[in-house]
Formats: sequence, C-alpha cells, structure tokens
Amino acid sequence: MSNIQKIHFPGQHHNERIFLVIRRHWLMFAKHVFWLLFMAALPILILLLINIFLTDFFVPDDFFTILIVCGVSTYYLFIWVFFFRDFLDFYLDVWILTDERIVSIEQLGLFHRVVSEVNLTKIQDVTSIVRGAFATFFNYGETHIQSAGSEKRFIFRQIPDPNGIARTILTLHDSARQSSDQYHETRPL
Amino acid sequence: MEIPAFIILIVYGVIVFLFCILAFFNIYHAIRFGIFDTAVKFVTLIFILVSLGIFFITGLFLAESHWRDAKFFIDIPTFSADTSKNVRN
Repeated sequence: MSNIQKIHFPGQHHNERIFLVIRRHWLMFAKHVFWLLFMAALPILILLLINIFLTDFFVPDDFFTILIVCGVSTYYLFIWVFFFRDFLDFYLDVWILTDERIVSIEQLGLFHRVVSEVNLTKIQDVTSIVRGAFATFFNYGETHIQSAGSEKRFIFRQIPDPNGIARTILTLHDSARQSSDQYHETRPL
Repeated sequence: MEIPAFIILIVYGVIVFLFCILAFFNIYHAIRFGIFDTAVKFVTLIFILVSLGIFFITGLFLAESHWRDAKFFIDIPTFSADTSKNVRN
C-alpha cells in the first residue's frame, strides 16, 4: 500500500481512494522563513551596534538590563508564535483528490476554516493558470474548477504544477463518469 | 519616585501569559486539523522546544541580574512656596 493510501481524512467514505493530496507551493512559505530570519537577526544587530558605537554613552545598569532582556524575550516569543501561525495557515490548506470527489480544506486564520467538496461527475470545466516569472520558473499557479453544484467555482491557489493537476482532475472526472454511466446501465429496474 | 524592577517582571509575566494563550490556540489547531502526516507534529514539537529555549535563556539572564535590588528613579520636580524670599516693604 502506497503512503498516500495510508492517509485518511475526516468524512472519507468507505472504499474511497485518495489519489492526490495537494498543498500550496513551498515557495509561498519561504518568504515567511526569510522574514523570520530577518526579524530574528534585527535585535542582535541593534545590540551589536550599540555595543560598538555607544558603549561610552550607554552603560546599562541592572534595571535597564532587565528591561532589555524582557523586551527582547517578548519580541522573540511573539515573532516565533506568529511564524508558527503562518506555518499552520500554509500547511493546513489542503486539496484532496479522490476517486469520488474533490475536497477543499482552507484554513483562513485561527478559528476560521472552510471545507467544501465537489463530486467529480459534476465538474464541467477545469482551467490552469500560471502567471508571472517566478510562477513560470518554479511551476506554480492556480487551477480553477467549474462545477454544476452550489459551489460553482473551486480555486486551488498557489499549487505546484497546476497544469498537471488539471489533467489529473479531468482523468478522474472521465473515470467517475464512466463508472456512473455503467452503474446506471446495469442497475436493475 | 522609584520604580522597582519586579514591576517589569510582572508585566513580562502578563505578556508570557498572553503568549501561552496564543501558543495553545495554535497547538490546538495543529493537533486537531494536522491529520495527514508527522510534519505538523514535528513542527509543533520544534515550536514548543524553541519556546522553552527562549524562556530558559531569559531565565538565565534574569537570574544573573539583581532584580530584587534594581530600581529606577524618576525625579519629579516639586513646587513649594519659599516664604523666606518674600520681601516686605
């Protein structure tokens, strides 16, 4: 059994097979990592500059040492917790392709989660969009799915290989339609 | 007026409490909704370890400081009527 077959998600039907689990492209999280590194280095740089250029003018006593230590600690705690929140916001956005449907799980911040699904047989149109130089080099973009359900348009944002995902969806859609047609043809009256 | 250093520690304690609330909410989301693989569990563990590391390093620095004795003095100017300079003709 492949690794993907070992995955189970809440609400998964019995005998429902997962084909793909899609997350946003890693580059979307890379900017948060660079931002964290920059913010983490900032107090160190400031303290180094103070130590080099302002030693004669600024000699911290115990009170100011405590103030600086608590201030820097607070700073690092909060940039760290917000970085963790950004990671969860990135990682908990998931699109799952099964042999029956497409499930979209989007984490839009703390305590705001949107789960929607569309049956594969109801898909009418699939479009992939790659826009910009970065997106072209790193092969990421959007896949738009037009369906006949109440959720008219699914959008997979910032996903890797959107064209390949679109082709996979269409292949799964064709298989689902064939299975559905065979079922209706052979169903006893 | 003197401000003792433990006032800063009280404020810092409140800030740490707020951090713990935020951290709890994030960890709750990670455990409840991070269901697919061990990556979320690993990152959550890293988050907890680094947070504890920050607390530990802060505690080391604070332990070296004389926070019980440290005070900050503010000179507040007072105005008083100096009657000795009044000149009466």
